[in-house]
This record gives sequence, structure tokens and C-alpha cells, in this order.
Amino acid sequence: MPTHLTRRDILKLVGGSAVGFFFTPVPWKLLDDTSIWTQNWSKIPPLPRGERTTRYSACTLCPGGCAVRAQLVGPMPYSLRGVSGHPVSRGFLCAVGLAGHHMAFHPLRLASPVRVDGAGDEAKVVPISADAAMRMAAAKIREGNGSVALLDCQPGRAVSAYYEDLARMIENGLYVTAASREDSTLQALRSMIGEESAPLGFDFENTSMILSFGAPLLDGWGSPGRLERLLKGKPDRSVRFVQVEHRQSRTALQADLWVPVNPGGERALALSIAHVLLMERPGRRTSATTIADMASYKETVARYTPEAARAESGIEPALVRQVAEELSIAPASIVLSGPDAGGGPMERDTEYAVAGLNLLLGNVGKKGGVVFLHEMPGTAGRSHVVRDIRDVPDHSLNLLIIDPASSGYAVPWKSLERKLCPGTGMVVSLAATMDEIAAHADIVVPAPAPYESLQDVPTQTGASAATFGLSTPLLPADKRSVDPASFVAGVIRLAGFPLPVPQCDDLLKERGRMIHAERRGTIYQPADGSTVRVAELAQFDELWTKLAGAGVWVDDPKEQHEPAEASLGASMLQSRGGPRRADPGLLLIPYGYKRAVSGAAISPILSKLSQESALRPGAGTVALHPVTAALSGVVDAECVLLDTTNGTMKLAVRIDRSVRPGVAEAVAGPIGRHGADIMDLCDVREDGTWRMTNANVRKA
Amino acid sequence: MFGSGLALALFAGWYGFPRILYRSETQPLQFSHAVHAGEKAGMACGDCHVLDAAGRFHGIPGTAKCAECHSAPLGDSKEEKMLVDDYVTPSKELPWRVYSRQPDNAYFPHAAHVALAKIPCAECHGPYGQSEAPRVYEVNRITGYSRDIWGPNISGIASHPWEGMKMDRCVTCHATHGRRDGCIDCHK
Amino acid sequence: MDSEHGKNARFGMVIDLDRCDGCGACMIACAVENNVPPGHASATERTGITWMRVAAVESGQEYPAADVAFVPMFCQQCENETPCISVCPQNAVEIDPATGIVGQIPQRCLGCRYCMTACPYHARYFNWRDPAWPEGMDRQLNPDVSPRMRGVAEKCNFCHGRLHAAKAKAAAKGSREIDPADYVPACVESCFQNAIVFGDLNDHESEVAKLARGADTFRFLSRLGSEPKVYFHSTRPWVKEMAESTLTRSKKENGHG
Repeated sequence: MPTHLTRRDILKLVGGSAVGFFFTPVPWKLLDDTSIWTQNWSKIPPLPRGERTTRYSACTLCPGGCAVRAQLVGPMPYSLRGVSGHPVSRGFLCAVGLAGHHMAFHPLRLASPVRVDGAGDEAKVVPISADAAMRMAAAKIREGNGSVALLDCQPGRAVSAYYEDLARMIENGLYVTAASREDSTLQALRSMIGEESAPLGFDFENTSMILSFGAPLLDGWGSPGRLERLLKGKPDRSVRFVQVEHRQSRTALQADLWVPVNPGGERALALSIAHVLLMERPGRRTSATTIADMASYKETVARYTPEAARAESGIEPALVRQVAEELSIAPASIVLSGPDAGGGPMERDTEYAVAGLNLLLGNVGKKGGVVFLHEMPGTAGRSHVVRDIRDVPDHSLNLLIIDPASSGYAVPWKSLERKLCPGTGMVVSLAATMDEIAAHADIVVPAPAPYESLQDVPTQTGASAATFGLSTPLLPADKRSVDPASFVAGVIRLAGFPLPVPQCDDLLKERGRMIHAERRGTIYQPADGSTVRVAELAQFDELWTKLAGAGVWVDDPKEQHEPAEASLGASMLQSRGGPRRADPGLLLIPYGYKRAVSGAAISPILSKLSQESALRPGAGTVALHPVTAALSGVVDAECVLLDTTNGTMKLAVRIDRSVRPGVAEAVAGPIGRHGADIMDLCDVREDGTWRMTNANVRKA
Repeated sequence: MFGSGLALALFAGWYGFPRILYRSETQPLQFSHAVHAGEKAGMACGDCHVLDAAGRFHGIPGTAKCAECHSAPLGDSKEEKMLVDDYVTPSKELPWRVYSRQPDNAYFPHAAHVALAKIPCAECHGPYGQSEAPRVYEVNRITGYSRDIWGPNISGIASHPWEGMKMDRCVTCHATHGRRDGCIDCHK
Repeated sequence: MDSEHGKNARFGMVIDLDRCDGCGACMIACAVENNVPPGHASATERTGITWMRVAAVESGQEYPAADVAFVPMFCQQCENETPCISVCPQNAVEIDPATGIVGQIPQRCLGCRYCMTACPYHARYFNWRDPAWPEGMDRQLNPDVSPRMRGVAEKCNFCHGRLHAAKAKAAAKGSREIDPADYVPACVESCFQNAIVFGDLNDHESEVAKLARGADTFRFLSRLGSEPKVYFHSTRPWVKEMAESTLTRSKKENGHG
């Protein structure tokens, strides 16, 4: 052994180690482990693990209330699908609903109640406590200089009845719904037959012809599964389906006949159909109803010969006569109008002109027509006598509380803003996410996200029997959210009106008790597809257990009778003459897809439909006919400026031959995260409509 | 000196390296398979490690399964008391470390191997069903997987058929049995 | 074929373009099922990932006569000289002889994107970014499908996770033959219009095989001879003609994000 180390020894040692290194597992094992590491690197989220379970619930993203079969891993739902055989949704679940379980984790989800200071780009969001929010809202009620309105975007729920009671308790309290109501025709018919609270529905299943004025029947209207099933695929259809719409919408594409009416010409078309029915084909009418104002109605209609109406409606007289003829020989028919998800409601007189056709044809109170329903237990005398926010006088509200449980339809901020007392009016939004309306509100109180709390699914628009179902939670409750009913009750109590604060669950149970007491109808259970009659359930608990398993109660049909007397709203129809459109220039027409408008939060995965494919053009584009584009000197995919009297917006142009010449079609909804909305450019008229606005397009 | 360098490297690589590469973790409970599967309780593997009718293998059972027998202590062992007090009563799941956990992109259907091919559990999992207490769980600091995937021998040479659970093990067995499988049969 | 491996199947689809109303449910069902993340804010048609993509194709006529066909486009599962397989330098794509499904193994992919160029249907997508979900949504992933990393290509594989589940269910009963009702891809399941029929083309009695043989059924770009296993059906002449026309990329697709 050498006594001292030389440089050579060290080199030998290193050399030996180097050789030895390759005879150890170190290099080979490290190579292997590193390669495994690269395959599983940390930027990929690990897959969830846990027990797989199946649960049933219902989607609450729009009032459609489609039944949902959810698959969970551990506590988390990872897959939703429809429930085939379900009496209400019939297995349907739309693209938005398929990703409904994402909503609780939406990037715009609110973490606490907030106060919004300032507006627009300078708006600052300050977190506050729920109590502070209540106190601020209660102070507005106590001030008393103006009315207080509760805007319920999804009426018919158990909590809606409670809101209505609360609003009645306070002086100047109003319970209102959004302007875009799918049941506009039923609403008009109720007042025409003088039964303001009569629950009405459409017996689509037994009808032989549907004439729809702009109602998006195949794009989410009512209970989407019902109409999709009935009107699915032209070859298999047993119903004649005619769509009157100025735009080639999805519904228009699927119709047997699309009547491309002039924008705003629906009223003239409806009246010219009435003209043919009354003046050219008299005697075909088989209704037993006496029309009180027939004389003055006839007077109005007399002016609307198909030839005379053509200037306004743009429809060939032969086509009008053909549709009228079809209606008059159809054994049963339904005529209805509806709002566009983005374009909003039609004018009141249009809604009346359309609804009146049902009375002319004797469709009301008849199988295959407009049918009477039993009252939803516990709601006698209300829920239908509801004003929509259009009827609230401008500049009259000191406090507006919005329950934005989504109606699926756009609510332009401008249509709400004009109702507020200038300077002092306060808006409280009970939204789970910072959506477009919430961004304009003064206070936002986060409601539970879908599938986080027990909710009810009310009767869908046009249902031929009342229904009641429950959306059971699939996700653990988020402690940051505030129950809307308790919040509103808390505000009103703080304002000095003593009342008990119920939990949402209690309201639902109460309605369940009423249903049990009435002993009508059946309950369907999605887990096994079984149906049981309520009358067979001795105890309320039995009924509740079934409902809590996401069961749905379906009422029995009511015996039908034609109303003895009715009016056709003739006084309403007389007022207007000539086309509403004065300026022959370019017309901006907003439109939308139900549930995907007005910044209502939707799953980020929906970027697949709007951003990563052109399937559903997203907000921020404007579609023009090639001729219109050429006149304005713009080309495809170019950035253009769209001017209206309300401002200017930069948009991308899409040239599309299926767009009506002279029209600029734009999708409603925020452009980007907190971006402007095309609806900011639209005129919101006196009558609360915003369907069309004169505009100009020019190169950016 | 060359020899000592060689010896040093060999010592470090064969003895020291595995001790650095793997981190030891203890299981939350000293569970005895011997007691449960032995004469005392007489249970079969499938009683707890359920393969359901849908062909889904449930792996390590949840606390609810334990609670079927151990809602209250049956004996006087300290471990059992801990199970009941810390997990069953508050219905909390045991944070087991799984020796055979594979990467997310690997797919292993127990149904095909156990129900269809009738391969006994021990063929892959070893005689674990007779153990008195869980082995120390060693986790690879680089990959994050258990040492059992590579096998106890750092050289990668298996002295028993159940040692090692890497893809080559799957492939060898499938080749022996003449299976023709595509990549996506075992990857998801 | 042989009892040891079970019968060989050739899974395929027939899509009725006259029924598809372009609702997009299939696209979302697909993305949720296969753990495809939401598009990045800058994602375009070219850089986003849509295994299933429904295109709205216009007939070219004027308002109001314009007609639109909605064409779901995804991996056509080419059978003959499958273009993506023949170009892959990594053997990361292969056709499974037992099912006929063209499989893609992301772990093998080196990201050269040759397959994307080769695919006549633009059905392959590249992960330009790490897959990212908003916080919380990453705990809602489908446990049966592993997410893909940045830098690899991916595409439709007829919901292979569901085939795994169907096979496991059959195996638990001791069978190698899956029940056709157990293996339904997410897009087929989500289609309320029943526009997509899925099944084994080798089973001559199956609905899909009958429809594939039927009148007015065609395949896209059949002149290339790649023998796709996805068929389309339409009685509209202009739609049938479109199937053989060379599609121009949309301006949006060509644009840079």
C-alpha cells in the first residue's frame, strides 16, 4: 500500500469508478425511470380514482329541466347523459347540458358576495359579506322612493311562489319575469279568454299542424326533448310543421315549410292569414266560442288582404292562402309565437295577432290544440298572473333583485337599466357566476351552481300536464354560495317586514305535500323506469323518497272544454299601421342560441362549438349576405365597424348566402370575457323589444 | 487504486443507489392478510377485492367494506381499535399506498385475467394474501411509482414470477399465450 | 374467427346527414368522454382539438333557398393503406385486427405531425399546449381515458374506453363476445336525432351493415381508395356530390391564432 496518494492514484480511482459505474444499475435504471417520468409529467392532471356510482338528477341550466343520468367517480360527476324513457325530457340532453357538471368550477364563479363599484372597464369588484349585502339592499327598500322588483328569470318554481308572496308583502313590491317569455302565446290567450290564471298548454302530441312564428321550437324551446322527439327528422314526422321566421334558423331549416317573413312582418302575416280565414274561407270555423270584439277585429283584418299585407310581410299571397287553407282543413292545429334567444320578444300586438288565430280556428280547449291544465297544487290563483318587466314603468325601480336561474334567453342590460330610478336604483344579482347582467349589478350574491343544491324543475312551457321534478345535488355544496330564497327573505326582514326565512328544501317539500294531498298524477322514477300513481302512495314520505331519487311527477290531463267567450284583442291590433321599419338601410338583427346568450355562463368546453369550429358562430362576428357585403365594400373574415345610433363595435365579418340581404345577423353574448355585447348597439324600444336596429357596416 | 474505485462504484451503485432512489413510506394500518384470509376469518381474495358484474375491479375496499364486520372492535388489537376509531366511526377512507398502481395511461382489466383467463391472483401479486402485515411501501422518487413495478431486485432480474410489473412482463406473458393485441388494448 | 381471440369485428358507422341538425351535442359528449380540454383562448379550428367536428356546409344557393348540411367529421377509420399509419415513423398508429379501429398511442408519438398532413379528412389534431382544465374541472375527468401531453397527435378512436368497459363486462361473464348494447360511442349515445348508427360491419345482420349497403349511402373521398369505415347517408344530390369534392379550408382554419 502506498503511504501517500499520488495524482495517478486519484485518476485510477476515478477510472475504476467510471468503469464500475457502468456495471451498476444506476445509468440503466435512471434512463428507464426518466422515460417513465416524461410520460407522466406533472402538467397532465392525474385521473380521478374512486368508486364508480350512477346517480340521477335534472339539468337546471335552463327551464327545460332535462333528466340526467350522471356517472360519478368518488364524489365527482364525470359524465352526464339523458334518461331515455323519461316522460318530460324523453332522453334529451343538449350540448350545453352535457357539460353542466363543469359549471361549479367555471372560471367566472364567484367566491363571495361582491359589491361592484363603477361601471364598464373601470368597474372594481370588492368582496363583501352576505350580511353587508343584505343590509345595503334592505336600506334601499326602507328609502321607499320607488318600487322594489323581484325579477324571476325562471318562473314556476316553488321559490317563485315564495318570491311572489314576498313581493306582495312590501309596499311597492313587484314580482316580474323576464321579457322573453316562451309562453307569450299562452299569456295572450289567457287574457283573451278572460281567465288570467288558467294554466294552459299545447297538445303537440295530438295536433296535426304547428304554425310557429319565430319560436325556436327545435332549438331548445320548452321541454326540448318533447319537440325534438315529435318533430325529429322530416321523413318520420306525423305533424305538419310550418315555421315563420325572417332568419334561416335551425328550426326553420328543419321545418316542412319555412316562410321567410320580413323582419317585423309577422303581425301583418298573421292578420292576413286571419283575413283569409274570416273573409275568404268563412264557415270553416268550428269554434263554439263567442268572440266579443269580432266586429272591430274584422274591421282591422279587412285591411290585411294577403295582397295588401305583402308590402309588410314580404310573403306571396299564394303562400299565405296555402298556409291558411292548410290551417283551416287541419283537424287540430296550434299557432304560436316565441322570442328568439338573442333577438328577444316580439311586439305585444304581434303576439296577440298570432295567439288570436287559435281562437279563430277553434283550437282552444280542444285535443290537439291549446289545452287547459289542472292547477299546479298549491299555486291556485297565481304563477300565471305575472307581469313581465316590459310592463314596469321606466325609471321607477329603486331596487331590482334578479334571480338569474337562467331562462336561457337574453336579457339586455339596457332593458333593465331603463327601469331603474336614475342615479339611485340598485341592482342585486343572485348569480353563481359573474355573468353579463351580474357585471352590471351593484351587488352580486353567489347562488349555488347547478347540481350543488336541491332545486325543482317546474312545468315546462307548453306542457300538456303540470309536472314537478327535483334536481338533486351531484356535487358537494359550496359553502361560499348563498341560498337565493333565504337571501331575499333576509333582505325583506331587515327592511322591517317580519317573516320566517324558509330553506329552499322546505319550499320544495311543501309543494310535494300539496301534490300528495291532491292525489292526482303519476311519478316516474329514472333509476328503474317505473311509474306509480300518487294515489297509491299512502304516506307523503313515500312520495318524497321517489322525488328525491330524481323522480318526476306528471299530472293527469284535464277534461277540455272550449271557452264560452273570448276577445281577440282587437283594440290592441288597431293601433299600428304600416311597417314598423322606416329606414330601408341595413338592419342589425341579434340572435342567439338558447342558454348560450347574455353571457350566461356555460362550460368552457363549449369552446368546441363556437371557437374551435364554425358550428355555432360565437359572439363577435356579423354575418352578411354577399350582396350586402359588396355594397358595404367588405370581404370575408375582415374586421368591420358596425355603427348604430348607440355606438360602434368592431366585429369579424362572415359572408353567408343564407343570410337575408339587407340584414346584419349577429350573435348575442359578450365578446371575450367582460367584453361588449352586440345588444349594447341595439335599440331597446318603448315596448321592450330589441329585435332590429338600423345599422351601418364599414371597413375598419 | 483502480480496484478500489471499481469497488466503490459497485458498492454505491448496488447498495447505495436503491436507498437513495426509493423513499420508504408506511401503510396507515398494519393490516394482516393472514388473519383475514387464514382460518380465522376464512375469506377469499374476491370477498374484499371485488370484481363486479360489470367487469369493474374495485381494488382495495373502502372503509364501508371494513365496517361490515368492524363497526365495533371484534378483538382487542390496537390496530383494529385504530381502524374503528380513526376511520370507520368518522367514515374516513384509509390512505392506502398501492404497490401495484400503474400509470394512468395503462389499462389492466382484472376481468379478462381473473374471470376469463382464470389466472390466480398470486401469479401477479405474489403471496401477499398470506402476509401478516403490509410491507414497507417504497416509492420511486423519479417516477412516483412503487418499487414493486420494477421489482425488488434493483438489477431488474426477477427471482419469482410475480416480481416486477412493467410492460415487458405483460408482453412476455401475452406472447407466450399467443395473444395478438394492439397498443390500445392495454393503453387508455 | 378463432375461439381464443373471439370474432374479428370491423366497427363502423353510418351517419344520416339528412337527420343531423347540427346541435353539436356529439362534439361536447366526445370532448367530455375523451378528456379533451377546453380550447385555449387563442385556439382556432386549426390549433384546437375537436376529435368530432360538425361542419356546416352550405349548398351555395341564395336566401331563402339556401340549404345547409351538417357534416360530422372525425377519424374515418380507413381500412386500406391507412394514410396516417403509412407515414408514421414511430409506429404510433396501428389498426387493431380484432376491431378494425385505427388506434393512436400518444406515448409513442414524437409529434412530427406527418399523420396530420397525410389525413385526407383533417381528423387528426395536435396538442400545441399542455392539456389544461380550470381548477376543479380536472377532477371531473373520465377515469377511463388518459389525457394526452403536449407535443403529440390525437384523434377519434371510437371511444376505446367504452370498448374496454364492454370487454371487461363480457369477460366478467366469461365471454369474449361483447354485447353490442354495451359498446356505444359517446357521440352516438348523445345524438338525439339518431343520426349516427354504430356497429360491426362484419355482422351482416347488424343495422349498420345493412345501412352501409343501402341506397344513398356513400363515403367521403372514396376515390382515394382508403376504404373508410364511416359511411354517410343523404338523399340530397348536392350533399352526395360534396362528398367527392375537394374541400377548401375555411379562412378561419387558415388563420393564425
